Amino acid sequence: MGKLIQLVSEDLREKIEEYIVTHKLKAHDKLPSERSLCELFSANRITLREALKHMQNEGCIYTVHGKGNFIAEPKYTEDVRSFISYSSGWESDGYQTRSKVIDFYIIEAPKKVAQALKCRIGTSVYLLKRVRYLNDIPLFLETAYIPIEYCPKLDSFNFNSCSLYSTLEQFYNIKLTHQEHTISITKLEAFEAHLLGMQEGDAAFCIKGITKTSDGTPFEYCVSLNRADKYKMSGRLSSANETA
Amino acid sequence: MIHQQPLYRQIAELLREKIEKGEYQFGQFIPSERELSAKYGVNRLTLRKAIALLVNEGLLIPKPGKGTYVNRPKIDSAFDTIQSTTPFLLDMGLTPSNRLIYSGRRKANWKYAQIFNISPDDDIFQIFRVRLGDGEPYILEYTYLPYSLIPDIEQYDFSIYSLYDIYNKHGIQLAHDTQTLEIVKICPPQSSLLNLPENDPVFMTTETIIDTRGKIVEYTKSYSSGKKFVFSTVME
Repeated sequence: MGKLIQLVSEDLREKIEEYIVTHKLKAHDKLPSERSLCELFSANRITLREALKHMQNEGCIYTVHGKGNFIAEPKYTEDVRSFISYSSGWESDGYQTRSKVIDFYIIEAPKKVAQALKCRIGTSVYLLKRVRYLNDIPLFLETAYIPIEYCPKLDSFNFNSCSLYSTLEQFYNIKLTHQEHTISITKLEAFEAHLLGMQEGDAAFCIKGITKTSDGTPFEYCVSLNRADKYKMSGRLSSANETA
Repeated sequence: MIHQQPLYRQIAELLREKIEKGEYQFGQFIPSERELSAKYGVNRLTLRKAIALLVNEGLLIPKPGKGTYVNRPKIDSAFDTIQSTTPFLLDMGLTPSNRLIYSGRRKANWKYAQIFNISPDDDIFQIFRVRLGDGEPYILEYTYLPYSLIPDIEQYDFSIYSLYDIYNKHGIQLAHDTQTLEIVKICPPQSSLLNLPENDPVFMTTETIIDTRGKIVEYTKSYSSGKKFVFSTVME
């Protein structure tokens, strides 16, 4: 039983977390050495390593070999409550945003895309693949599919600098109001990892979204790969009338 | 311009479709590597890569020496309503049960004093459980609540009782819930409690639940396998 619950290492982790906050340690500050942490909290090495491993796995600290443990940057937190465009959402949170177009061309909709957009297989759709940066860190690899009949000549815009949603609103008078997501875990392929500055096989969020206009027409299908080490979601939810 | 997916991805899509359509059903072995590579005219390596992709996603499960069989479809959990686990597993057609790992009273100390806005010397109660569906581990939950909230909490058997039942009984009405969703790596003992290999990526959610009086009544951190879960949200 003792092995399954790790009360001792959890307790130690709480103390380290307290130390970090009360000593006002910031991202990239160094934690005291393992030896001094052991002394400070009268803990043994094994318990300490267990506690540090958990903090590492959950992205609270990172280790540099031969140098020690450092405080990790907090993850970028996206609020899933309200529908806002990528750039305006993050910018209002004080981040710098930037995009890099990787691919932009017309394809015949494969089955998955056609199903999501409720169109026929083979319908012409734009494929727009972009890397999204926050404060110059590549965080998201986004692939959007939009039927060309909804917005002809979309490919005359440069989405390195324009926001997709404001372009749609300004030039096509299309207002997107509603988004449905499914969130799963994926492992990055080599080329995806390369674009995000990660290693092949690293875990990432795979978020598949269908964006609709106010009359419920599916307008855009988007697959976004978000770095698990830098990103998390949050939401404040109201109680659904719990009948249980 | 021709933009084709690599061959192994195309094969993976074909297999995925057969699973989604129910041609290959839950618990059923898919045809052998030899049969499939002959059928699609691809070499074994390509086929293996296609299967590995679906294993990775949790659609297929390899059974050494026997082949590869179809996993149960993933549970779709709404990330935008407060859900209690028991009815949710029931909805999925699974028989829910709990494995109580630990429950007990302790001092709040710094961390939980901050979370519940109480004194570090106040008591809290912690409950660690594995939530099972049809006997298989689905979610590992670490729940903390202020001890003063339900003074008779120690008398309940948490392998049977749901916290929601106990809240109801004590007239505690839940108002809202702040949740976060992250992907983290899992290691022992958590990985063994969920039957997962070490370092597998899992969903980690933290929930802070507030009742209608504006009091923080519960803090829960849970781990669930990406091979068994997807989350969904609707934004307007």
